[in-house]
Amino acid sequence: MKILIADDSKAMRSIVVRTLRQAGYSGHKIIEAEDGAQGLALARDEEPDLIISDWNMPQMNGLEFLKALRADGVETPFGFVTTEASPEMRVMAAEAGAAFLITKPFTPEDFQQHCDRFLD
Amino acid sequence: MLHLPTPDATAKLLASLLGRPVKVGAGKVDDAKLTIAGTYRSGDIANAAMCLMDAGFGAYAGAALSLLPVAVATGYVKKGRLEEDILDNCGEVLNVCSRLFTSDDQHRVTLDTRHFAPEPLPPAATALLAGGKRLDLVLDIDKYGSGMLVLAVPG
Repeated sequence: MKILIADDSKAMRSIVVRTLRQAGYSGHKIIEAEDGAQGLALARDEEPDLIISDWNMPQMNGLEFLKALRADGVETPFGFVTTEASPEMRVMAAEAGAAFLITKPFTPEDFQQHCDRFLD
Repeated sequence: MLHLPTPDATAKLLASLLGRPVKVGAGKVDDAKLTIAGTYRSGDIANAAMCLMDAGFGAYAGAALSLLPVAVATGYVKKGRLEEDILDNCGEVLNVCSRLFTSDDQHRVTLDTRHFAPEPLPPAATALLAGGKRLDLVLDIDKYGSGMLVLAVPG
């Protein structure tokens, strides 16, 4: 399977990859984007099976990225990994079609809880 | 209104982020050594909170985040400033520290600006250090080292 990870922090993208591995998800192809705009382009070109995205990013934030995908008719499972998680943000994420929202800092168990239904 | 966390809550969040024990240590913060700052926005309010670090905490936390060798961090501590390859890591620590200023995610708190030596601290940070409410900590990151961290909100 193919997983797209979008975060403007290279360090955080590496940590997400490491945590996915610790959660038991190995052997998947990982593609990375530095912001929502790059994520959108990669999602169109690479057709990933799961997208994990930060919320606050330059160029295009995570919510705009998700809305643009859905506007294109792309229904790829999409989850946020973000520092902020106010009730308002959770509602916006769900209404836009996000499957989950994991807050930083996170554990492998957090990823298992939300990603098991999408990943082997 | 944002609030200051307890020392234990701060150590616990950082331990979770860095994947290793973080303990509150003895010692006093020297404001003159605080050379790293993050300013936070809450809704429309800029400078709603600050996080300041010395080069030691910034280097050790940044290195621990990506499991970089301790020697890399120690080199920055000796120089007294961080360099490009670890700034992103330290910035992510500042980003996650935004969670310390709100309970149960009731307020939106976003990392707004980041400042690293040799750039001077922003005036808002020095003003908050002088007149705000602050939590001064010396924190020890297991197998890396200790450094100073100050969290501040308007008084």
